[in-house]
Amino acid sequence: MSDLLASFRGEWLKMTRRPATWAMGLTLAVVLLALGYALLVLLVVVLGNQPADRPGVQTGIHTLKLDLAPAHFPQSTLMTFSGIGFGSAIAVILGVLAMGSEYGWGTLKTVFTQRPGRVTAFGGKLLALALILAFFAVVMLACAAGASAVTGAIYGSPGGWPGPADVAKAFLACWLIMGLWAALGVLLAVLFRQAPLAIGLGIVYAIAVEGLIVNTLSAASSLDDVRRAFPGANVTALVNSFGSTAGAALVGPTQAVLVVAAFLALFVVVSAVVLRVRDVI
Amino acid sequence: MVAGNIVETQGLTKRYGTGVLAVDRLDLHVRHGEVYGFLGPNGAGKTTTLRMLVGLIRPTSGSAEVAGAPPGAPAGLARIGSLVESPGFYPYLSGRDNLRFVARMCHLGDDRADAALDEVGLLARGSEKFAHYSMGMKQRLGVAAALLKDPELLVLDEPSNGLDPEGMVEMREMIRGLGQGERTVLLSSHLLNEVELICQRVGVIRHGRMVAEGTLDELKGAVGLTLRAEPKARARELLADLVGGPAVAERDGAFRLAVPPTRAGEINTALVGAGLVVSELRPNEQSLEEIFLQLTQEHGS
Repeated sequence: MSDLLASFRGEWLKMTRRPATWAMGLTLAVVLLALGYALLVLLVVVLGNQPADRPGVQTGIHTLKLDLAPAHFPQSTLMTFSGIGFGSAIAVILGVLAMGSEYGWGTLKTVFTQRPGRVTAFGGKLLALALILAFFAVVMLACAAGASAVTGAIYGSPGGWPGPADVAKAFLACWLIMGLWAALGVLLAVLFRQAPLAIGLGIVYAIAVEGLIVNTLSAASSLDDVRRAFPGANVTALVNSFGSTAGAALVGPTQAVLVVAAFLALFVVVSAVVLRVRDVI
Repeated sequence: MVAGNIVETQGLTKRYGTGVLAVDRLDLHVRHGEVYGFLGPNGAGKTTTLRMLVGLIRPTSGSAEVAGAPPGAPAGLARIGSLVESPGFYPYLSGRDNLRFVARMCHLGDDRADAALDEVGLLARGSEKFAHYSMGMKQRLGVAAALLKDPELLVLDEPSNGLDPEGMVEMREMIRGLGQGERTVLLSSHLLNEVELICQRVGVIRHGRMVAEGTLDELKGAVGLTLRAEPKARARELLADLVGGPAVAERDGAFRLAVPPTRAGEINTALVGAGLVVSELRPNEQSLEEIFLQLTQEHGS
């Protein structure tokens, strides 16, 4: 346990002093504010300039204002990870950077020749990464809350503010989803022993490949069980469980949480096993 | 493990997946408190051996015990400081923060970083980013990181790599100082004069196999005797009878005998007794470079 704590302290120093970590966090916040708020406000302005009697205009404006309302901010945060969610890609990059850079800089040998064993050292890294992701989840929710307070003041606040329990659930969901994609990034970095290829593959999978596969499978209802097994599909189901009206949920929130957590655990365990047995060359 | 050895390997072998046999049944013995030179030409298997000793790669077969534990075990790692190949640090961190990271991993306080920086003469440059360090500074930081734990065993792999002549002299002096007292230093190098000046015992590796191990005097002695005697033809016959034809060679008008120097008296008595005039008989005084070349070429051919 003390070795794990020592590794965590070391990794925390490394990750918090790394500019790329904060650049990724800033990007998450900017993506959330740009796609979740600024774009919607722009659409409200554009639709507001249309003739009021034009079909769909009033409905559209009403829907957009609901999305901008404070009651909606937990879901706005989580939407960053749904579908072609750029948040997923950023979380993958965070995971890759945490592990893949060690190969590029030749620092894995420095980490593995200190006192803690390999799995313990890896555990310390994961703990530090998890804490940073938790911080980013809090920051994202805070950004969304702040933005929705502004838009709520302009467009009204139907439904008021969400309760603490809803915010806490949104935080846990956000943390879990980021953890999943970051763990995929870590796994790819370990498997390919480098950052660039892992980032490329991780991003392509997170924002394109899985969506294509799931959409193709959706053509046949007999393949629904296969669709339900994909991590991204469960992430989308988890996000949608916070009140989205975008289509019927593929799986319930409990199953989505379990599947996402299972994938996260699988990625971590496979990474640990590979790290433990493979030579550091 | 033999008492008194801090590093001991038996039949240590590493064959990579590509089929390359990097280390072949290596028996290595490093004693407590000595500065041990691990010599070999490029590609001989030195770095692979050291990587196995610190647990970075796993042997295909054979066994090793390092600082009282199997390679890579936390109990052993806690007593070993190492710089294997190039120093691996985080470019965005300062030299001081890189050492703080290592200190934290080793359960040490952050203040150890400054003490280690001071030890290698980098205290004044500790706040600069590692990426901005010169090659010599990077090597020094690598040594500082290896020293943080105040280790019983210091494993240094080609620490003079990339250094200018002045830096090499400084590094040599530093290593000589580090080897004082109880600490053991296992130094891999292909710079023979460096090893000759620093090390008490050496091991010579070629194609992954240990071809000689001992003190410098033992290695120098092991290469034989130089003898001048007249008449030469008769001397050649007698020497062939005494030590065997393959052990007799001629160079620069002298006989080179591949026999232990302890046989000098016996050979002299035999030659003089046969009526020959022996004008010179002495152990070969070769440099480590000559011994090294002889050992590696003999075993390579």
